[in-house]
Amino acid sequence: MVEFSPQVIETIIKAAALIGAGLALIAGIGAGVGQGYAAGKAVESVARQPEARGIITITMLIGQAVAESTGIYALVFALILLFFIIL
Amino acid sequence: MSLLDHNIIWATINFLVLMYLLNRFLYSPVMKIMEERRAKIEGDLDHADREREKANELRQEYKTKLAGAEEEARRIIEEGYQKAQEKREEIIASARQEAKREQERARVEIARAQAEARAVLRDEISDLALLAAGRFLQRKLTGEEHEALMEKVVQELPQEVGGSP
Amino acid sequence: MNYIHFATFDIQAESGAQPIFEIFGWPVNDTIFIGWIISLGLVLFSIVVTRNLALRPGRLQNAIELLLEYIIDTTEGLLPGGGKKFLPFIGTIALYIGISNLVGVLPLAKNPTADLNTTVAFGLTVFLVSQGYGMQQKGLWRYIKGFAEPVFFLLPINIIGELAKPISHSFRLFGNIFGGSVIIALAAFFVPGFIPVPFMAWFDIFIGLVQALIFTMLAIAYISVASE
Repeated sequence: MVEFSPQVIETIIKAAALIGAGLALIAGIGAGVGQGYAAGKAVESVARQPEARGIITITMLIGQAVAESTGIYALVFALILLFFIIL
Repeated sequence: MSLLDHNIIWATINFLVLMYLLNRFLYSPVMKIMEERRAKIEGDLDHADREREKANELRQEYKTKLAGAEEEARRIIEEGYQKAQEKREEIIASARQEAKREQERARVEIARAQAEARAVLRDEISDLALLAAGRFLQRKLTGEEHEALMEKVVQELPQEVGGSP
Repeated sequence: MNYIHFATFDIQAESGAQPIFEIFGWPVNDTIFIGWIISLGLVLFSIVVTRNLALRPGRLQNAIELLLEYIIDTTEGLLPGGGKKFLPFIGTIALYIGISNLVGVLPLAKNPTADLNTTVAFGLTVFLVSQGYGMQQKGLWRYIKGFAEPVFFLLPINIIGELAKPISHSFRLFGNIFGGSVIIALAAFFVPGFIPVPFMAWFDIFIGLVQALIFTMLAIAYISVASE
């Protein structure tokens, strides 16, 4: 069994946390695709019904905010890993 | 280092107190004034409706009154016209009567004058004739002769004098 | 051993919440303290505004009335019959969170919403209000039965879904504002002496206003969903 000094262990934890933070942000793909899809659909709706622009925009923003949740969770976890575990 | 600690209590208290204070100082007064304004506008509208109703009534009343007055005026004019017509008829009739009477009188006068003239003429002519006859006879006619001659002339006279007046 | 020396970026000092003083031995974060200042400002502002309200509104009163009307109308659209009843709640959320998100443009002011404590406090309050209103509107039995619909074995999923709402609600706001302030601080850190105005315009003003709108709309939507 190899014994690691506490310094090495700490370094490994830090490295793992940084890698984890990077990996967590992959979740942004889903949020980005979802938001883009919602925005595209909203543009289509506005093109079809320009008079309903206001309500479409608000509905789109709310939908995007809900779709954004996963991305935001990933961001929060990345920030926690980066700045609260490392420090 | 923790993300979530007892500071949540401060935040919650902050939120609740802020909600209470804003309700007390912002929402309630503003809502109250908006409600007041709404009530005032409603009252004003109601009042305006009532006023319009009243004005309409008044207008209707005036209209009927005006129509009555017009009728009255027409009636009065009609009546005056009628009366004037009657008066005219009357005046004309009386004038015509007067004229007729005048005419009648004139005719009577003329007749009278004619008769008078005829009488005067007869006397004149008889005198003239007597004179002429006397001259012709170179003497003065006696009463009997004169009478007889007179009769004779007068009997011939109407055909000459009365024939062409 | 350190061949390359990285400048260290202290995220805690730049964007995180820092305890600044204590009340009864409990430390108070600077974000919370800024929240108090914002609340105080709001209350003073409303006292000034409502001191001379008139039936013929001035420009300021007009703006305030327009804002409150907009909040009432929006609430009424999602939650029929609740516009006036929820005005203090929804209006306070909208005003406080909107100003908290915008306050980041001021130097030395951290957004109160960049502190998870504030957002969780709001999220939990919205959660409790929505559940309580749902219970009041539906009655206790129908409220409990609502969790076992459409089939009984969905009960745990429904409960988890309900509990996930305040978490996602508060983490969304926190993540957006905190992430924004981190990016602004990083920009200022990498380019010393540069005030990242475009970043501030985007993260503090646009994202801040959109997130305040979304937080408010979702609060209304949660109350509306829980009550039907």
